[in-house]
Amino acid sequence: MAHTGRVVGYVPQPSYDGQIEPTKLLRLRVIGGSGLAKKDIFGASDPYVKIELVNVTTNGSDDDVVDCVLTKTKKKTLNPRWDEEFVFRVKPAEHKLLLEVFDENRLTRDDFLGLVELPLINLPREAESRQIPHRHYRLQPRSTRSRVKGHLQLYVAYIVDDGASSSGASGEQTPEEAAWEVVSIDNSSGHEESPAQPVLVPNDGQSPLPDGWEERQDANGRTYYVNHNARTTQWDRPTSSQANNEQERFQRMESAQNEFRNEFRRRFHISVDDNEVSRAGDNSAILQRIQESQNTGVQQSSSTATSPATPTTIINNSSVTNNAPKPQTPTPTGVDETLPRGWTSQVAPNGRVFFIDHINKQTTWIDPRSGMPSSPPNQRHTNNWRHEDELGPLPEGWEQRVHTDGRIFFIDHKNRTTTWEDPRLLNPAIAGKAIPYSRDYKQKYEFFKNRLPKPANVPNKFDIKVKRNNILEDSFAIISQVSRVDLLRTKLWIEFEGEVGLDYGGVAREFFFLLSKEMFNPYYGLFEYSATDNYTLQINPYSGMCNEEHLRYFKFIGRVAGMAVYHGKLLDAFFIRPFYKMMLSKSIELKDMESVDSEYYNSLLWIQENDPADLDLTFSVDEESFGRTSSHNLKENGGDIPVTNENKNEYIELVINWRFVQRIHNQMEAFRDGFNDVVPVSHIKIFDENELELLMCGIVSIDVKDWRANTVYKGEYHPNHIVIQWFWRVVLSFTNEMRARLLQFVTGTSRVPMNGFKELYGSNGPQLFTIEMWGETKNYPRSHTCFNRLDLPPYQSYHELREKLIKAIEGTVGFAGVD
Amino acid sequence: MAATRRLQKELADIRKSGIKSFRDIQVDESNILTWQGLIVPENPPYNKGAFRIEVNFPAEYPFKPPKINFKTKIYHPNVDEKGQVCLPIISAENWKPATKTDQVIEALINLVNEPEPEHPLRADLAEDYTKDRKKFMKNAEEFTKKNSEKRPAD
Repeated sequence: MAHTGRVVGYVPQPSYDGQIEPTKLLRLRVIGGSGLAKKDIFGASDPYVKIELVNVTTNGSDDDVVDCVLTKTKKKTLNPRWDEEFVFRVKPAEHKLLLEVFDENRLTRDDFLGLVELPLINLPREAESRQIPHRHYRLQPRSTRSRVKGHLQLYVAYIVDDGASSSGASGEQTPEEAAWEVVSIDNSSGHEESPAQPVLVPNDGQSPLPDGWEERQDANGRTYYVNHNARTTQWDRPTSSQANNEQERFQRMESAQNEFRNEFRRRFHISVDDNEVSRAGDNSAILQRIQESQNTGVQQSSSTATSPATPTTIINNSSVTNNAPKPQTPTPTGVDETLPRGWTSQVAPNGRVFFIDHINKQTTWIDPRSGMPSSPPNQRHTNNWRHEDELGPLPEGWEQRVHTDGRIFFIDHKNRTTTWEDPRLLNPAIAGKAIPYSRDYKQKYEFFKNRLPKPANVPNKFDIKVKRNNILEDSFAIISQVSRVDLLRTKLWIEFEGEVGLDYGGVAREFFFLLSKEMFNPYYGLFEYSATDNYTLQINPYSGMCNEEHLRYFKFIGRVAGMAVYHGKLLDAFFIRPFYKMMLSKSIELKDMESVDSEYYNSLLWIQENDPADLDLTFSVDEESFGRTSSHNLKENGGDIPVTNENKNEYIELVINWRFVQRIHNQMEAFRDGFNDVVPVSHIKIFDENELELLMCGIVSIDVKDWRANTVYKGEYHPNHIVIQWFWRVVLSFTNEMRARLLQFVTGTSRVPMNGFKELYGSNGPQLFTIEMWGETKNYPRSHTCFNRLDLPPYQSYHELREKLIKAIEGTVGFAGVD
Repeated sequence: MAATRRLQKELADIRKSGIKSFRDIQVDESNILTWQGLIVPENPPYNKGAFRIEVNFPAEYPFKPPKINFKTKIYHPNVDEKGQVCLPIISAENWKPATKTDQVIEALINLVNEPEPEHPLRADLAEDYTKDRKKFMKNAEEFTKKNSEKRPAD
């Protein structure tokens, strides 16, 4: 039974007299798990096991890890079967095994599902005639707040080792081993002790929850059950038969949801700064969806008695989708495991952290853990909130105060009134010509939202019934023919044909996402990518050749964009900066071209800075459409007028105007027309072009799963190479901003193609994201943006990789990629 | 048209110059935006053969740089298996409308003759080139003899 395969774990050190340390070989087979906790919001869990060999310490400090291996991830199961075997070299008295089960997440930190600590004494030894059974180990929590359940099924035994370390294994019959023969596993009492007493399953007397159900506790400690399939909650524990009936009904619905679920995760409104978004933010989008889905019933019927309260950890975190009538600036939620049960923390608009006691329904500045008040706002998040001060002083007689829940309000001492509204926003002297000015997007947004025209003299809802597979044509037919535009501002009632009218709040969001996918798809020829290496959209100047009715379509698209803005939904697209500027009736400058087409921009810039006489240019430009090149005169007889140092500025201006404005003038007018039907164009002028993008499109969250699925490897790397596994772990650990910067470091753009990473372009055409093994560990990673390639040295550890990668991305190594 | 007129001029200039290491330039009458030509390097191991390349000009030339592809397989640290090459002079950051095609070709020939192992597209070749030049030369020469085109007689 000697082992000849790969051995992980401890590497014996020769001692001073040349003797090899005594070690043993341990065979660990991770067979499977059962009844794991469900962490994914929509399905089961994707469990894997991290197995660490650690030093047993006696002084209470953290165990240091000798070696670490991972099992594969099993998708969507609570009863995974791994059947993976590892052979560890261990020192039984000094080491123990720590098995931690995690739920792999695409976007957020992997969820902890429980651990098993395995001391290495009292373990059986393999022998020819001996059958060693595998055992169930109950998963233990890591802290008092961990919610874990289920068991791990393990086989663990020492291998007879004929090798160098025989002194420690085969020669002696240790007392522990002798003892093991005697001790039988006693499960009858049902009690379990940690660490790692094997137990029998099932042992909790209750059958496991049916698929799609989750057990939760509300703020008052009451247990309730969430049915993710039906999006309902109930107090009674569900039975399998109940679930079976429902399962069929909702299976089809669920598969449809799977499709758009990824889309939703990609994008969110910017109501929190990116460093806040990082981990909580990715969650927040999901949580927010859950809340929408769970709250709908409550909001509409207000019959809270029939369903338990929304769990306290789920707090709406986006200002834009928040329908609260008061000017409320939502804040990121801190679900900090160290806080006492029933407590959460939040950040007030002024940047100060406050604490919510959900049990007693109170808020306080005082941290329940330390008894100390949180730092005053100026010391925390100053960079996030500094814009507050840039509005200048309050009008005379006004005072600004912070409400107990952290919101800022204003007191007018002259008139003895209070208001949530910042008086400076209404003061033309500060705000400027009739259009209030503020650096604070959130405040602008509130102001904008309050000024939106309310619908009048129309039905109280606007029915839009569409087929999923014909969403563009169906929506076009419905929305284009609306003549009383107030209807576009009423509550949207969207129904997908064949799907029973289950309005759980997310339908409208889904509608805008799905519709965006169609109407902006370059396939239809209404929009096109701005340049081959860029994923922002611009109006296709030749849209008329693809679609005779193109101007009616642009008006329709404008209406849809206006409806999205009006109803606080997002479009799934990004446009070139000049597009937003044109919506705001701003003129386009040379500088605007930089983000659209950097090569063209550089060339025009060169002309601006040098004498173009040698270039043989005239006042005409070439353009290619549908494979044919044609010429366009920038002015009368332009083809005969050479560009000289004297007239070059006129030339540049005409080129810019032609490229961005003239070519698409009619389309843009139609779009603005449609938008103006819903949201008066004058109203959006309080925003600049960057803010308008936030308003219409949110910011994109990079889908690491799609990224990884569309990455190729060169050299010795392969998807399961340990360095590659570390790499993706690092990417997962990054904030969205860092992910964007990594993407930009390697590909030159932080945008993801509309249809995902499979459509990534290099300078010579389609080119998937590539990682190649290169260099030595002392090197920093580097990139070839023309081939979307990252040269990644084979680092020795996760932390080294992470550190070097971050330095390379941030350019702190003075070497930002090759070309 | 701007691109056409300029390219015709450039093509005539290059043909007139009679440059020895880039010849046999073929341009389809109907499409002056695509050129083919033969690179004839002087330095070993590439002086055992010749390499066909394709130069593609965008319609927006000279506002945008041309792209270069090797049509003949070449064992070179800076050219990948698909024939793509990373040439700084035509990268988006460096491109200037005043850059002429003969300068681009010259830069390419220099790169072929003098590989830049510190900016490789094929890390394995770059490593051999730096650490075991003898092995690299042997492999490259064999590869060149087997895969490259015949050098012109003169």
